[in-house]
Amino acid sequence: MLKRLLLVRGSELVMFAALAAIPLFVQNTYALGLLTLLAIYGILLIGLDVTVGYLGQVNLAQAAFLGIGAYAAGIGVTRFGIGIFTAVIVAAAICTILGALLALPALRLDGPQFALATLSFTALTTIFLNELEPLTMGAQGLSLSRPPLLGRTLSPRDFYWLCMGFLALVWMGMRNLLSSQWGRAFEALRDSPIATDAMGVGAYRHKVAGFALGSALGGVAGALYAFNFQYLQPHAFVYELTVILLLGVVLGGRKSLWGAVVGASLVALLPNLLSNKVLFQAFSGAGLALALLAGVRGLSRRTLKPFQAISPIVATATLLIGSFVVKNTEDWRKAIFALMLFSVVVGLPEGLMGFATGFLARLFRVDPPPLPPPAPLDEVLPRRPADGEVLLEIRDLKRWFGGVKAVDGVTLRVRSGHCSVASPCRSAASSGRPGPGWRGRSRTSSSSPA
Amino acid sequence: MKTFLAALLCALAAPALAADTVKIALTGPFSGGSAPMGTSTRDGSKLAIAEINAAGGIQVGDKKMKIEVIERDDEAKNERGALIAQELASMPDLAGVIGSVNTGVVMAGDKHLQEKGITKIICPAAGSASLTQWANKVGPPPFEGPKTLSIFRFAAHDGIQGAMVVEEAIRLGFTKVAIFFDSTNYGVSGRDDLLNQIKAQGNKLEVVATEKWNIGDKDMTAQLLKAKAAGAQGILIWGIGPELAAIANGKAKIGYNVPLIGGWTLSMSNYIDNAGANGNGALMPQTFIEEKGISPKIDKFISDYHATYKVDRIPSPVSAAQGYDAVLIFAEAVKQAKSTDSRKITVALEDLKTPVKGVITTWNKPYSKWDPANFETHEAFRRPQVVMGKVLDGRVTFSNPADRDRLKAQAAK
Amino acid sequence: MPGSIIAQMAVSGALMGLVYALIAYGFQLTFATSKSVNFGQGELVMVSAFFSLTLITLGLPYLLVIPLGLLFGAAVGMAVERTGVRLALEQRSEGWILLTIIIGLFLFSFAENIWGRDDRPFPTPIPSTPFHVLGVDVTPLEVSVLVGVLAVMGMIELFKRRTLLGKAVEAVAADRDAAELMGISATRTIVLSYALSGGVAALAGILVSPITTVGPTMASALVLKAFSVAVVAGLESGFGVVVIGLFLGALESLASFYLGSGWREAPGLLLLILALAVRPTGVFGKAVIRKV
Repeated sequence: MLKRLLLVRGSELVMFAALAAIPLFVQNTYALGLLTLLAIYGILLIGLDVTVGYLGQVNLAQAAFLGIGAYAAGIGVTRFGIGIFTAVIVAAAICTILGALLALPALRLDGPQFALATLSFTALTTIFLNELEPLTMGAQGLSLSRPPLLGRTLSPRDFYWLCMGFLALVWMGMRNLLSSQWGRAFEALRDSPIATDAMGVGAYRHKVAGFALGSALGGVAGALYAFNFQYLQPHAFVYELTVILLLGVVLGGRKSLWGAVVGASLVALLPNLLSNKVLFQAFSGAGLALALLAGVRGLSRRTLKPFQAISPIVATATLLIGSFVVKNTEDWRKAIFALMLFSVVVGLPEGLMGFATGFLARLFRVDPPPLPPPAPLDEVLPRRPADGEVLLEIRDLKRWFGGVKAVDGVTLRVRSGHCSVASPCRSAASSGRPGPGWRGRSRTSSSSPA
Repeated sequence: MKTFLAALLCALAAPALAADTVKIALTGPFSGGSAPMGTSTRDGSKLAIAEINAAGGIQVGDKKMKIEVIERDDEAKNERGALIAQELASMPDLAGVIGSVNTGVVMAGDKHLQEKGITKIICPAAGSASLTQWANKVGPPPFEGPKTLSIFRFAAHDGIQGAMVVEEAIRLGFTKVAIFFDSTNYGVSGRDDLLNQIKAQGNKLEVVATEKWNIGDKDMTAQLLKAKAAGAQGILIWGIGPELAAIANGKAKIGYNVPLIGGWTLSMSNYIDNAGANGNGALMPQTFIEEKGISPKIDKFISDYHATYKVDRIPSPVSAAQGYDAVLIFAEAVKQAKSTDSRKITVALEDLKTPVKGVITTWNKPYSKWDPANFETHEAFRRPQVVMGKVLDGRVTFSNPADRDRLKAQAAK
Repeated sequence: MPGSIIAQMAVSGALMGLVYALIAYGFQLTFATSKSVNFGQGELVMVSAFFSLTLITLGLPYLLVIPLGLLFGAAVGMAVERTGVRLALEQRSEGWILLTIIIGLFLFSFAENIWGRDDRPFPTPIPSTPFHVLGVDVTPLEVSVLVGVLAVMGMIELFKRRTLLGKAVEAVAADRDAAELMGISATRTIVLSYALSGGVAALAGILVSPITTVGPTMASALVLKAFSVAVVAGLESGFGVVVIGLFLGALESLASFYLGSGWREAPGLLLLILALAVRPTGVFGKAVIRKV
C-alpha cells in the first residue's frame, strides 16, 4: 500500500517538480515554448481521453473545442478586455455548453455515426469561425496580446509556469474524479452500456457529462493556446489536427493521465523529431525493436493473431527503412504519423503507458490497490421491513423491444410477508397486441424471506 | 521522462559549432497553393548564395565567410510561421532571414524576429499589412510604431500594385468593374488597396460587385454570375494561383469574357497551367519578366535557374528574381557591417553605400533609416521597378512593349 | 435575382451532388455487408484519380484509363479491407474507424509526395463547352457525371439481383451468420464489397477530376458530404442516395449563392447532424431493432 502510494504519487510529484524546475536551467525561449505547448496539449489530450479512453468512442471534435476555446478567449480579451483567468473560465464554460449540446444528439449514436457527428461538428466549427468575420476576423486571423496577470506582464517563463499550473490542477481534478463514482460509472458504461443502464446508473447521462467535461478541458487548453500564440486562424483547428490528437492519446495510452501527457509530449515534439534525421532513425529503430518483441511474444504465447503481430513489425520497419531512403522526413510527416498510429492501434492497444505501467508493475512488484474491507451484514442487507409494508410498487410499467411491446402497463404491489403472484390474463407478448395488463394476486404466508 | 525530453530538446536547440559562416534562414511555403512562390524564392536565393560561395563567400572584415542556409517550410500556415519565427529568433548566431510569401504568416511570426532584432527581408510577400503593421496608425486604437525595425520588405507592395491595376482598368476604358478577393489577409488588404486607389484616381470606376472566396474553393460560379449580372466590364482580382485558375475557367464556362486584372499572383505557374487557354489575357504588375534578350545578366540568371533546377520555366519568375536580388543586397550589407551580428546588418541595410547590380535593376541605397510615420523607408521597390505583365500561351510577357525597350536601354547603361 | 441564375446554380449543384451520391453508394456497399465504412474513402478517390491522371499523361487512351482506374480503386479497396477492417471485424470491435482513418492519412501523405501537393488539371476528351437545355447551361462533362453515376449504380444493382455472387452479397448483408451457415464465405463477400466500393470511388474520382482538378485535398471535402448523403438516405437504401445527392448538391449551390461561398458546406453538415440526431437510419432506411 505504501509502496503503491510512494511509487505512483511520488512519481507524479517528481514529474511536476522537474517540469517546474526546467525554466531555471533552460533559457532557450524556443525550448520553453515547446514545453508550454506540451502543457497545453496535455490538458487537451486529458480531455480527449475522457471520450476516447474512458467512454471508448472515437471523438473527432476535440480540435473544434480547442478552436472554440481559443476564439472565446481571444474575442474576450480583444473585445471585452477580460483577464487571463476570466478568459479561461469563459472558454471552459462555452465549450461545456456546446459540448453538452453536441453530445445530447450525438451520444444517442453508436461508433461510426458518433464519429461522423463529431466530424461534422469540427467542419461546421471551422466554417463558422471562418465566416463570422465581424466577430472572429475570419481568414485574416485574430491577433491578441496576453493580458497581464495580477498586474504583472507575463514573460515566457511566467506563462510556462501558468500553463504547468493549469496542467497540475487538471491532473489532480481528473484523478479525483476518475477514482470516484464517476470514474467507475465511466468504466462500466464503456464495457456494457446496457448493463449499466439496467443497474440504474444512467448511461446516457454519464456519457453526456463525460463528453461535456472533455470539451470543457478542450476549452481550457484553447484559451491557453490563444495566449501562447497570440494569433488565431480558423484553419488551424481542422480534422487533421484531430487525427494528430488521436495519435497522441492512443500512442500515449488510453484511460491514463500519464498516457495523455506522454502523448502530448510526442505531439508537441514531433515536428522537431522529424526534422532531425538521426533522432528519427533512432526512434523508429526503437519502435521496430519494440514491435519485434511484442510480436514474437504474442505469437509464441498465441495471445495475438498473426496479422496483429506482424503488421506492426512491417509498419515500424517501413518507418526505419523510410528514414534512410527518404530525402526529407518532414514531407512524409503524415505518413509517419499514420504508420506510428497503425503500429500502436494494432500492436500496442494499451499505448506506451499501458505497456509501461504493466511492465513497471511487474518490475516493482506493486500490489494492486487493496479492496475495501467487507462491510458488516447489517449495512449491506436492507433492513427487515415490518409485515405488510410495501416492499416494491410498480405502476404502469411498459417495456418495448424494438417494435414489440412485451409489457404494457403492469401495476403491482409487493408487500412484506406476502407472496405475490403475477400472471398474464392474456398472452400479450406472443400475440404482439397490447394486453390488458397483468393482475397480481397476493396471498399471505407466515414465513417469508426478507 | 520529462527531464530527459527537456535535455534532448536543449541538445537539439543547441547552437551549431561552426561560427565562421554567415547563417541565413530561407523560409516560405514550400508546399500548398503558394508553393510555386515559396520554392521559387528559395531557389532564386540559393542560386545567388551558390554564386557567392563559389567566389569564396562574403568578405566580412578580414576573412571570407561562406553562407550557410537554413530552410524552413511554413506551409503558408500562420501558426507554423509563428513557431518557425520563434525557433529562428532563439538561434544565437543567425545573421538574417529572407522569405515569407503569405501576409498572414508575416503578421503571425515577424514579431518574434523584431523582438530579437533579427534582420528579416520579407520577400516576396506583397500584402501591404506585412510592413504597415509596424507603421504609426491613427485610432482606434492609435498605434505608435517602434523606433527601430529589423524588418524590411523586398517586393512591390500592394499600394504600388493597386495603383497600377486601377490605372490599367481606366486605360482600357472600363467604367464598371467587379472586385474579387480571397478571404485571407492578402486578399482583404488587396481589396482595400484597390478601393483606396479608385478613390485616389478620381472615382472613375464604379464597383458594381464585390465578391470573395476561401482558399480551396473550386467553384466560383455564384460570384461570377453576380458580376456578370451587374455588368462588370473587368474583374480586379486579388488571390492566389489555384483559385484564380478556377475563376478563369468558371468565367469561360458561363461565357463571360472579361479580362482579369490583378495582383502579381496571376503569374503563378499553377494559375497559368490550370487555367490553360482560359488564362490568357490576364494582366498583372510584375517586377521581373522571364524573357531572354534584355540583358546578359538576366539571360544568365534564367539559364542558370533552368539548368540548376531542371525546369524550362520558372514557376514564379518574380519570386525567383526577388529572392536572388535580396540575397545580393543582404550580402552587401553583411560586407558593409563587417559582422554577422544581425543588428549591425540592419544598420548597414538602412544605409547601403555600394550599389548592388541585381537582375531586376541596380539597387542604389534601397532602404533608409526606419521612420514609423513612413513605412516606405523599409521598402525597396518604387513604381519604376514594376511593369505590367500579361499571360499569353503558358508564359508571362510584357503587356506593353515600351517597357521591354526601357529595361533593355537601362541594362545597356 | 433572375430565376434563370437560380435554376443554373441549382442544376450545376445537383449534378455535383451526384458525385456525393456515387461515393455514398460506395459506403452503402460496405456497410451492408460488414456494418463498416472506410473513413478514408476520400483518399481512395484521390489516389485513384492521381493514378488515372498518370495513365493519361503516359499516353493511354481515355477509354482504357477508365477500367484500369476502376481496377486500381478496387485493389486499394481490398487492401483497405485487409489491413484496416478485417482485424476489427474479427474482434467484433469498431477499431476499423480509427484504422481506416489512419490508412487514409497514409494514402494522403503518399500521394502528396509521389504526385506533389499542387492541384493538377485532368485532361479529358469530353468537351466542357456548355449547351443550353431548358434555360440552363449544362456542359457535356456534367452530363457524363450523370451518365456515369447512373450506369455504375445500375450495373451494381443488376449484379446484386441477378447474379449468384450478388445474391451472396445480399445474403451476408441480411444475416451474416445465417449466410455462413449456408456456405457463403462472409469474409470473401466483404472483400468483394470493399473492392466494389473502391471501384465506385475510383469512378467518382475520374468523373469529378476534370471539374475540380486533381490534388491531395480534392476529396476530403467530398467525403464528408458523401457521408451526409449516405446517412440521410440511410446506409442500406440503394437509389435513395441519388435523390438525396441531387437535393444536397442543389442546396449547397444555393447556399453558396445566397450566403457566400464560405457557407457552401454548411447545409450538408447541418443536415448530417440533424439526420443523425433525429433519424440515424435515414429517410429511406429501416429502423434497427437491437436485441438485448
